[in-house]
Amino acid sequence: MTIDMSQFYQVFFEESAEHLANMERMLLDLDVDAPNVDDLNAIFRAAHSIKGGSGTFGFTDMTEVTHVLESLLDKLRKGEMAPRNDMIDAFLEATDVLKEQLNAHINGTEADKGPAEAIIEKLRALASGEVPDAPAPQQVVEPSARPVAPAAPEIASTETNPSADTAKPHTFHITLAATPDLLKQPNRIEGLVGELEQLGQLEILSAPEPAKDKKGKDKKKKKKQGDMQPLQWKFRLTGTTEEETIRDIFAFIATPEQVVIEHEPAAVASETPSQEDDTGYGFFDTPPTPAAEEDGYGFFGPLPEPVPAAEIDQGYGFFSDPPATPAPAADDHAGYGFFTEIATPAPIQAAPPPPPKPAEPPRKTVEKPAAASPESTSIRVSVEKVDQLINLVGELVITQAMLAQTASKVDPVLYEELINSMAQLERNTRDLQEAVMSIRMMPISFVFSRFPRVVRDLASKLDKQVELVTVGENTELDKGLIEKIADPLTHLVRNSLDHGIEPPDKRVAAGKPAKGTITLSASHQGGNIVIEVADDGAGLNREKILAKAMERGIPVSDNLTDQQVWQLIFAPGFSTAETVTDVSGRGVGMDVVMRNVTEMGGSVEIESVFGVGTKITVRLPLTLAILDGMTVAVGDNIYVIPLNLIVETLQPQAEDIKSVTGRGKVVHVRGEYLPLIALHEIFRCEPLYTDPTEGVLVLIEDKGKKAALFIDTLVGQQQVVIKSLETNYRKVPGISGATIMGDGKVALILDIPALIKMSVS
Amino acid sequence: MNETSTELPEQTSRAVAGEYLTFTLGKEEYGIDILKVQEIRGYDSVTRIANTPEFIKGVINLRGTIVPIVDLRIRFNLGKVEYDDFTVVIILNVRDRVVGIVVDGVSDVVTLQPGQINAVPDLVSTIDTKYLIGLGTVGERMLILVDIESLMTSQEMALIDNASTATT
Repeated sequence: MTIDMSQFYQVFFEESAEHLANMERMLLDLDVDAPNVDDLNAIFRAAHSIKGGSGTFGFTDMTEVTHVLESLLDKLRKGEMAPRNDMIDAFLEATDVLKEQLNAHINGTEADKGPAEAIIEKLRALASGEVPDAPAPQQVVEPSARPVAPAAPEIASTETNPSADTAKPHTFHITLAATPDLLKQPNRIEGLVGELEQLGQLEILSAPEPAKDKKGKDKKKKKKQGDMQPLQWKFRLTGTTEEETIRDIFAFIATPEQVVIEHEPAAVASETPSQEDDTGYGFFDTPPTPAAEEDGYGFFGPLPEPVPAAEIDQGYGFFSDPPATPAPAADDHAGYGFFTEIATPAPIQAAPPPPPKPAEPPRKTVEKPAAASPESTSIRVSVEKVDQLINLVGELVITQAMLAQTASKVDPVLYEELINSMAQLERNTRDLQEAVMSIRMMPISFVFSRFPRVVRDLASKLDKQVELVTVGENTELDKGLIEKIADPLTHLVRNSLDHGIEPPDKRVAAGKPAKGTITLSASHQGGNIVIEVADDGAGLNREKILAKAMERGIPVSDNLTDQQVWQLIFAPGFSTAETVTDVSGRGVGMDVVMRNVTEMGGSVEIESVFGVGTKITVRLPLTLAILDGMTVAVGDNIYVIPLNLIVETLQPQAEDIKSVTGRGKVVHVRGEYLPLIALHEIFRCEPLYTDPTEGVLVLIEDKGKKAALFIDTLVGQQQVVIKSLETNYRKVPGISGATIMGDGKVALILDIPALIKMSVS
Repeated sequence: MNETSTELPEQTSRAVAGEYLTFTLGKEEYGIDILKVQEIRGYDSVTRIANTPEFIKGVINLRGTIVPIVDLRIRFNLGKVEYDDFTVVIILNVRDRVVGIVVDGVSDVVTLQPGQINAVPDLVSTIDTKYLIGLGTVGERMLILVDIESLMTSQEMALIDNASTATT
């Protein structure tokens, strides 16, 4: 086995990071009082996947942590324990530890063992001793012959317990409740059957009719059997495997509630398969493997009837929906000699039946039986591949344009078909280009998802009560921007929390609810994406900022507008915080935010009302890669002007053009005198026209400054893909980049802000 | 130039046996390390960039990449600057950058042994001798072996940002 595993490491790292992020998100979303079983399952699956992966790659430290984590999660998802806040905290801590470990592995080092051991201890403690409701099942044991739940503390010991008789085959009865999802995907069941067959001798006792095969005849038959007949698969598996292995197989297609695994001693295996009925109990002194259904029903109604079929029917009578049988009554190994060996710890958690909650009506999951693991709906592709694809499609568009040009020369009557096909090709290539471009777009939830954690941690650190509201998580923006916006946004959120939101007592005194609210929202506005960080906190203090500014020697006067005052906080090193905390107050932050956002071609605005709150608005271009541009011509050169900087275009009258001190020219437009920039002079090229009245003036505006750009003609408006000149060349004054036009030629994109500056100097 | 003389021995040691792509500029024959050559293509129309030295012809679209084109004939004052069907652009890959150079024609690829490479005598040349590896001898031909990577990334070529202040 000399396969080089390292080639798969990267995939594992990425996947694990994603799983961890998902876990964290779901943990934060989890309502402790009414946990959603689907979520618990999803968290469990994530932990399980990390455990599996880390085990495969030999990252035993991660395996150990996930293992304990999984054990506790398993109890939660089976309802054996109710989630508590301290558990969630422990889980979050565990994800942190795992992240550390993962990072260590990525860097090829070993993470500090201390935190890992601490969290393992903590989770173990939570899973066992400390838990008040752990012994509950025993105390509340109903007459329904419930097996004694193994006390949780046994976990540790059984893990290491060597098997007494591993080799002895045992028989499992597995019942899998069907969900509409599963019925639609027979191949998943086939795959499952295949896996089970590997474990031992498999018999399929019954299977529901696949929905699509349901013909009239079958329907009739079904009717006869009674509509109550649940859709379920029943398997009998004889082999030396452990229950947990089977559970693992099922874990990915069904929730634990859907799967019922019953043990049957080998000797009984030869008996009638209907051993699950009550007569079966006769064999045993101790209560035998409780059939889960019976168990569950015991709580909800009359004891099961002796006839299995009836029992099932009756059982389902309680649940109007497909069954969500309470967690499997997996066997209690203590009761049976042969089941002592249980390799993984999880099965033990499987053992105790759910804590009975007699008052509880059928579980919530019943409403949503299709809690099967969601199919992966995305694939992982490197950005280079996507960029390459974008380039290739760009080439294709150019080739198509060249073909179209050639085709336009032929006789349209003779070559009608060719012309038609060309039109279709054009449509298709455009669609293709749009589709490929959209690959780079990602929802902003990728950034937003980190904030619940940031806010939660920081709020508890600062003893503040804060609720984070996110709006518009599905707003899409370019992947490049997503990566760059994360840090500035984190700064803003931390600022809001630290400086904005007041402590609860102050808030109450000010007549506000004790719990502050921070709202993160994203939306598209025209060609921009607008991200807002708003809080209902104290707001900016104008006097304090002005005083601080004077103290720092920044020239200010009292009659500055609010906007101008707020802009002061973007000055490097500016902070009004009285004390420097490790959260903020050092004055690094807002200037960094401003710089980062400006680098992305965006802007930051502040609105604030003292005592009411602050709203910081970040405006970003939709994408770094595509630009809506106006193509213009000067002589035989084509240039692109970013459309969002164009105010209007016009042909001036001779009397509107004035010269100033004989040198610079200005143009009079609606009462304003704007500097006139002749592009051919700046770029020293041969224009068609040197008289502005013959050409076209494009009014451009950047940061409130306007100018009129004199060009020969307008060519058209189109989206262009921005290419950097600096990749292979260097920065050129007045040029922000280049793009490739339909004919394959390069056109330069004008750097409007720089041109306006040039016109001023 | 002190710098030149001290670097000379080092340069000759750089002149290891290798394959060189030879091309002509006017009447002179030059050789560059074949491993720096990405491809050879015909001269196509370029997009002029304003306010650049004359020898920088502009940029072209090379399968989606913007590539600057330098005309070495203008840079070194060699030969008549004509653009015809035989004008060739050698696309180079130097220090992760893609750059095209216009030459009069590409001849062939020759393999040179260390013995065939002579040191560059001190002489007046439009190319600073520090960018020359040596003079290669192939039969009757003399090849001027250029360290194309150092040359293209040098200040004189003004192809890179931090070199932009250099003049021709």
